[in-house]
Amino acid sequence: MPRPGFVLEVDDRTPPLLTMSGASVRLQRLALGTHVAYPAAASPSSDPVALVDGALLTPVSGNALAGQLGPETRLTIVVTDSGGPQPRMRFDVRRTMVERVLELAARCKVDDVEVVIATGLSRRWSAGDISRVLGDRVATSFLADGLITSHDVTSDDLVPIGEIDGHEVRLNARVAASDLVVSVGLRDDHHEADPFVLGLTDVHTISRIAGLGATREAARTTSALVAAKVTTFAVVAVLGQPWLSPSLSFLHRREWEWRLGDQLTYAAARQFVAALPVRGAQKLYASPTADYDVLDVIGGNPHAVHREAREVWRAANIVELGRQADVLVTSVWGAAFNSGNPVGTPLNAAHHALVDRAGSHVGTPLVREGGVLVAMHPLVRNFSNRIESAAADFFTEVLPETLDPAEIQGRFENGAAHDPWYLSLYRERFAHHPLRVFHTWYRLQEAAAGLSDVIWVGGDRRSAEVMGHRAASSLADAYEVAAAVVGRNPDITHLHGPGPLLGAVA
Amino acid sequence: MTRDLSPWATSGDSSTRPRLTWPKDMAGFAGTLFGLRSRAPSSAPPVTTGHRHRLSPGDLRRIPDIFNKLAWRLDYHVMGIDALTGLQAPVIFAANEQGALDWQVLKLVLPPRLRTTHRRLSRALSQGRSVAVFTDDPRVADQVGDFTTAAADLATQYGIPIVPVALGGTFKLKEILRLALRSKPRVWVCFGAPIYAHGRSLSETTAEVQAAVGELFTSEQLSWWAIQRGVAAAGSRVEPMPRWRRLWGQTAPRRQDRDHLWH
Repeated sequence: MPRPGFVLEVDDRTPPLLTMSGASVRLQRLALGTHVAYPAAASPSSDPVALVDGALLTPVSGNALAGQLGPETRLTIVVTDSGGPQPRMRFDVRRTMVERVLELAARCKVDDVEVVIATGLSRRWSAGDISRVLGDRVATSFLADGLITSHDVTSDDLVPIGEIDGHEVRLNARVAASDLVVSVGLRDDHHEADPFVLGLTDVHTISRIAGLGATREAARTTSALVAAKVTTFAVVAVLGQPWLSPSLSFLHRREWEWRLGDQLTYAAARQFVAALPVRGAQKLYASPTADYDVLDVIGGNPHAVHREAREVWRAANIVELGRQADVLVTSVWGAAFNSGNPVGTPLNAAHHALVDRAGSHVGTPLVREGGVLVAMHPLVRNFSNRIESAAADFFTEVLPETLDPAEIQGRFENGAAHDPWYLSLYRERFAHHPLRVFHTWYRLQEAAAGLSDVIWVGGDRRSAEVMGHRAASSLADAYEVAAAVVGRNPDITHLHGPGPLLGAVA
Repeated sequence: MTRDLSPWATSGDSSTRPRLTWPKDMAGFAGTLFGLRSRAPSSAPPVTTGHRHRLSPGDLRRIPDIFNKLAWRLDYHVMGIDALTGLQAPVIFAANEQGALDWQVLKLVLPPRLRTTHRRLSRALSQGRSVAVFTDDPRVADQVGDFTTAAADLATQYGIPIVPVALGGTFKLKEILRLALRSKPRVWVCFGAPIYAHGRSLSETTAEVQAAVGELFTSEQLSWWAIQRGVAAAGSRVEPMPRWRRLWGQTAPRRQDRDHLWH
């Protein structure tokens, strides 16, 4: 296990600490008495082949994979993709897992093998993505014959596998017709969502599980139905914190451990971005890669595997916080949630701050009911035309009309879900499905429901106003705005980036 | 729009002038003597150093070492270098031996980070350096010789993978290079997928390495042969199998009777 996270209380001797806002970084002094929560330390990875082979040979439940394969087996390998860890992985452990499974399948003389990428509403994978993630061996063996496909939620080929409360559940045709499915996935957060079901079913089922009014019961019954119909062996790798490349290594080191090299790269990174704001940020941060240590690889029955993987991730990343905060402050680093865009769109930034950062807790929320969230991000409206066209239109046309999720669902969701332009971008141009931004907004509003205010430090005032939030020029101004609600001496907790952490309030 | 957005909430000026930030940043660090006087807070866990390095695609040589004059005298073809991505030092390279210059030829294409040697194998591995193991002299000229169990033994002992490597075009290379040639002699190096020895006996692992190197050696020759003579690539020697497995087998170790290959 790597060095655990911890909490630092700011006093007179505390040096300036690192904060990130979009693509820019700075060291700034925090208010006295602030509790700064540091995530677990990052460490570089080692070859995970032994862990993967161990998971395939001795699963946590069920039989070993080799015993379930034979020459007549119709095998499908499903690679689940729920955005993956950001920044993206330099050595993708899914490549190793898929290669070891295929090695085993070749030894067992399996003939019928296909690979399906379970993307759900996220953007489908192009041939370049497949080669980059799964490696040359898998790509050259399967891609030429069209045996690697990315799931299309709008496809007419989806097969009905049952009904729940009168609603039909439809599944990917190849997966439904397989004798054995090996599901290869990653665990890098504490969310409960089942990426297998979210990645391989149809739009209506996904809306019932993850849309407005979705309940845990609906998700559980759908997962149970899919598990009953499809024999699955799950393999999940639990990832540690991101270990960034040397040009960004100061981000994952703690400030008092910085030496001259880190200080020079920090100054160089700031100067680069300040001198050439758009190009500099693009060069440094647009698609950084990070090395993630593989803490464990777990194989076996999907339900048991996901539960165990979640426990391992929780044990590695939990940070005990002494008290619930009145004000929660978080940095929002663009590369931590947006690949290819160094700053990040306003909607993705808000989702990252509210759901991924403030929402990453066990039991008691990190900020009290009626508290304030302060996030640092410029909220620049830079949506990608190809990938986030639906999100751009959502921001400019839907949100100025209403913020209420129920009204948005009634008036706008159906139109966007059937818009031919958005659907053609999704099917042919590897864009996100139009419904993804609606689900992002619903999660965002659920997370903001318990807060009295969300204040963006350095954020564009117009963008904040459109989302129903506030903007402040500096951290002190943000506290001034929050003072009307939480008083002038609030309890402040600061979530230090860039990696994720799981807060546990005592 | 039906929402009443505040009229004063307008976007700021998005254009920013280039600024000079590094003097002020470095002046801030000078106060702590550039990190030498920093003290860790009492609640912070102590530093633990972990140095593990895996080969990234940037560490691999796409072209041989240009600072060595042998690289300029040969026509190099390197295949399958992607198999080394993600490997962690040390590893064992198992290569077939054809002539005196095999080690020189191989060394020029190996990643410099691995610091490979072919002498005093056990000592090198204990110091974290990669090693290269060669076959005995081949019984029949221009074929792959036999591996001893040394490679499998070391792999089991140190828990590291064996990378099969097939070298071609190095037979009598030293003599050929003394001749006055109009074109460079063709030399090819073919890397295969790493073989992990855990849970298997020495003879099994050695047989797998032997099969892998043999497969890499002949697949290169056969593909050249097939192109030159129009012969169907290995149609008679392999059992009928779907295309994905044949392609997979070309780059993966396969348990197959070695003599079957030479018909």
